Amino acid sequence: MHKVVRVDMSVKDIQWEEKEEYNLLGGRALTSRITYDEVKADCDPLGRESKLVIAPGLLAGTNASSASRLSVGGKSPLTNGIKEANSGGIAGAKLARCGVKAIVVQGKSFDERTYILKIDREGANLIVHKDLESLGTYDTVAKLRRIYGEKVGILCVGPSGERGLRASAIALSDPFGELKFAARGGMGAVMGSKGLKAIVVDDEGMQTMEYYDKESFTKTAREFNKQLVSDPKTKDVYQKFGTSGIVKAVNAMGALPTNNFRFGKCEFADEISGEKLYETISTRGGKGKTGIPCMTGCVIQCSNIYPDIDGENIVSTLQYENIALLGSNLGINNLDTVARLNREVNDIGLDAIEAGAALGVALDQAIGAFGDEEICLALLNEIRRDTILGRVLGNGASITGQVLGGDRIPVAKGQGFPGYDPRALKGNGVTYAMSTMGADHTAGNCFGARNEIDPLGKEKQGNLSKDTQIKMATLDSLGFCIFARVPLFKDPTILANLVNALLGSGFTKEDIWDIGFETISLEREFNIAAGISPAQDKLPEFCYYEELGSIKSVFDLSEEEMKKAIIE
Amino acid sequence: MVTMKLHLYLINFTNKEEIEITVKETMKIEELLQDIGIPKDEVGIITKNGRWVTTKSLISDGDHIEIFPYLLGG
Repeated sequence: MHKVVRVDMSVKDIQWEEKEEYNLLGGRALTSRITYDEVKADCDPLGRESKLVIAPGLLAGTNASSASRLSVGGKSPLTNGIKEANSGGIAGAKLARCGVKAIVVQGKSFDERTYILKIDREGANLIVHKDLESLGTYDTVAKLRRIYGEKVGILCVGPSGERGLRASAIALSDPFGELKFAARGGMGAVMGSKGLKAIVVDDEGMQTMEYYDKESFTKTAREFNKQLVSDPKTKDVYQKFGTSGIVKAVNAMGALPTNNFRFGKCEFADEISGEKLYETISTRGGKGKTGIPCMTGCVIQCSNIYPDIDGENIVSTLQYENIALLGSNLGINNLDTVARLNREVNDIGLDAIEAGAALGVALDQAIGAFGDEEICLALLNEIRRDTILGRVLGNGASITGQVLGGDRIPVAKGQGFPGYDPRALKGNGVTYAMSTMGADHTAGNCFGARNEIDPLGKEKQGNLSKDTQIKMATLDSLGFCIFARVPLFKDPTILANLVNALLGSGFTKEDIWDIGFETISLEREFNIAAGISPAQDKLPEFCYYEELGSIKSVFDLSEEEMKKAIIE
Repeated sequence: MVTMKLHLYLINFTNKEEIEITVKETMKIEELLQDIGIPKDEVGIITKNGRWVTTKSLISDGDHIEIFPYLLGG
């Protein structure tokens, strides 16, 4: 049976625990369940009573494509409610193969502040790594790969996480040593606050997965993988453009955040589009590349390396959210600049969405001009140098707005808006305001919901958000990537069959979604106990009054419509 | 005259990125899509003069229509 590894940073004690009751839980279902079971809802998210919970998706480590994502969760220092963020990279599969159901990091180290947790066939150990202090994520990962081998999976925080800045993310290494991020909710600050700089997972000699019915699992997984490969979009869209393929579509519908969400369209959308990204990568060549898998065995392969004019690697992966928040939202009209900002944000260890939203608020308060690369880089450098302004920005969009002033602060439940203006895609406005996760599109993204529902309409948005939230929470729990959702939503039997063949459970295509429903119900209970009341189920005031650009839309859903999205 | 702009792989169905069409007065977008050979299942977002519309939306002279494939956000 897979075990829970409990790491107490106060006394440097590690225990392996068998928890039979967690057998059918993984990913978000498990991080939220352990947070619900063990974390005091009223604790300080960055204090010693808070815990960081890390759990591979239920199907992680198997040969099902795109299903080895890793969830990190706990109480968020941004929303003050429960949070889960998940990411690709290779640590999820490796943890599963090491027999790890979850890692619970608790307490707080008061001696050294740069511990790494090493998990391998010998067990788990804490090692002090003073050499990693204040080191950026890129150097941290490179150094750990040099010391512990290129095949290890790594999670780490950058200097912002070490300092407990609330916009901090957790970086994960991919098969090539590039970085992916469990970005949202400030979970990097929680990890850093414990005195834990990194986790290194080495599954050498541990690569056995136990299946209830291996033959049946392999058959279903093979068919599913085949479906993904045979979808023309995999090759024609995802491998070429990744998530950035939607830039022009979001711009056309007027939902592309521009100049701190003042406009929903920008005239230079073509210049920051997926098409431009692909063209630039293809033309420049060198280290530039598209069609890279971020998890071993993924057939979708939507990652890229964006090169500079000489073909040298600037950043991997340049993707939609980062283009929206660090690009159009800051008035930046070219991908080279977005890539440079993205590299800095990654290296400092920030969530690109939260950092972009915070910078947008700062520019709106005339700290600099929209579209000015130098000022944006200078502001990020303030965070790196740990100046007072840097500490303000590094604590996210909400705190930045409160300190610098202004009544246009694009946050819900303390967390910055992702790349869809809620006035032009109202279903996402419901998700931002009503979900347990605050303004987080991954909690229930209504873009791509086949758009039979008018994104500007006043009806059907509540149920659309609710349905998407439940489905996403299920995928988050199983370890599936959001990009694998087309065949899975179409035929949920695949999900049930995979889980049943792995664990001997009896899920059906109907009740498989209960995993998501029950997870969100628990999360909601935690949030209520944490003091998040219906008064916080709101968007910022400007969304209700300020008409968005040419479509002249405000967020005008009734309370009744909003409440349809409550999951309890 | 109606102009229609196709995005990403939808261009493969017509081999043209932009199409100019003279339309009957009462034509719906779905009829137009059928005429030019774009399968309904492949269509995601449609905008008419910068606003989101459904395939049932009526087309009139001078409209600018953009068709995006069924895409997923990240």
